[in-house]
Amino acid sequence: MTPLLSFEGVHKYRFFRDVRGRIAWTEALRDISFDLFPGERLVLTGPPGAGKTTLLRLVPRFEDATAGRMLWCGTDLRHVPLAELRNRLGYVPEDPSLFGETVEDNVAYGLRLRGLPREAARVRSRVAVERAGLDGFFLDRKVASLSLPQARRVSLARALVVEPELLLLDELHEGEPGAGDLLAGLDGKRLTVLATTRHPGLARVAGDRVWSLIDGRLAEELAAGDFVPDGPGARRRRRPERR
Amino acid sequence: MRVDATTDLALAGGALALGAVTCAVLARMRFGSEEFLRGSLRSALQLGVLGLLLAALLPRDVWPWQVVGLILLAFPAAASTAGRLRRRVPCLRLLALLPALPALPLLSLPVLVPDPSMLARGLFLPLAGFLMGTGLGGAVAFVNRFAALLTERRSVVEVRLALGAEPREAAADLYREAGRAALRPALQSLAVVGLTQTPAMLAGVVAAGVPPLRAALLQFLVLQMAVLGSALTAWTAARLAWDRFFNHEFQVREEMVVRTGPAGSWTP
Repeated sequence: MTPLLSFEGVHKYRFFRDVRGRIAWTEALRDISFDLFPGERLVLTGPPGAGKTTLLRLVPRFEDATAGRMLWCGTDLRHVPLAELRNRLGYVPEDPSLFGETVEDNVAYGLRLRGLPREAARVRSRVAVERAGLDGFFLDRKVASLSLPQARRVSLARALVVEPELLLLDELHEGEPGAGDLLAGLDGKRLTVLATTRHPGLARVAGDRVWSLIDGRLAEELAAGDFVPDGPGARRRRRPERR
Repeated sequence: MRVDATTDLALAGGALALGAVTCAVLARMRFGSEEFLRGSLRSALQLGVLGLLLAALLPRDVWPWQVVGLILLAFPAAASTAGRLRRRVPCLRLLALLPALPALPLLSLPVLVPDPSMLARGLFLPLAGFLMGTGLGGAVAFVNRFAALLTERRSVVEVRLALGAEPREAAADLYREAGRAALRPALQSLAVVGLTQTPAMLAGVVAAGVPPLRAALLQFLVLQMAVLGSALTAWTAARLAWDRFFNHEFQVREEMVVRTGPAGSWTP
């Protein structure tokens, strides 16, 4: 089975000017290699500054890798038309990054870009909001009135509404109600997830496979899941689902 | 002649005396008297050069000389603006054309005001200078504000890009906000003129013997020109600068949004 996403020896360098104005560089990601199969959930865990967000940002091509290859369904990511790639991804940044006035402005944004009529977009937005763990009436709520956990869920709904093949979740948070359950709740759609978190405990709950990322290097597989990529229904979970 | 020289001396002395008082107040309150002194010195030099330039050009009743004057006025403004913008928008030589834009509304003056006495050549060059100053300030304000907004809301823009938006759609609200910021000085002066502020130009025109009502009307016309000049310049700067903020892969250029500090980084 072809992996949905593959990293093959990916390196990412960052250049900056030091306090004396000289150009210096740092290696944000070092020799990253892994495969992500359709329907699988891979969670990367590591301390702040380990390179988790940088790795995630390479997938929608907000940045490009300095060296190595990234493959999307076996095709070099750079050769996949950008619009097609981004239409198949859902991206949830660490900061909810909400815009506009209401929740609907956010959740329906992707649908409007795809030319969906307003009413149809509203119906689908309502489903996405509920799928993200909020009530449907949240659609009319003002963005400014949301708490941070609510805003995060709106951000998730905004990514889910376009029915992505791969969901990129930057920074799952511990202590927020249902952060782990949220991923568990997406099971039925057979969504592939690449997530990051600082909390190894949460990673073990949410992921089929958990890797730790330290200093830009995939250090150790904390939990090798029993995910079987072949065929629908072959998926088994190591832990009972928490709802 | 003696009267003129006495008046000049009185004006210079008055300005120096007021400057000394201001400097003393600023120093006493620690509000930055050094900056005031530097600014005063610069303005004295610049105004002196401008005065000499106008004195040399105004008696020549030939239009090419007026154009030469305009170019001489535009050159330092262009160099200064291009320098300020190049920090944000490198390698954009077309920015040097920007100073021509704010002065464009000036071309409407002969059509709108057919009275030749109003179009005395003494008015043309200072007006052009004023319009260029306002307009170029608008261009710099647009680019700087847009860069600041993009740095601040980069995550929002990237979320929109991830949802399938093109850079123009993804950053449309930032673009509008930066445009409003660019026009704000000109619009504010339009709103407060006559109430909390009597413009120096109005005072100067009245002092030159133009009837006050006509001077006020002229001032209104000039302010409209300033807004139009600012809008044209900001719009052109936006069009020229846009591609510098995003590359053809719809990626935000990091060097455009993170410019300072050891944390600032970019990908070559």
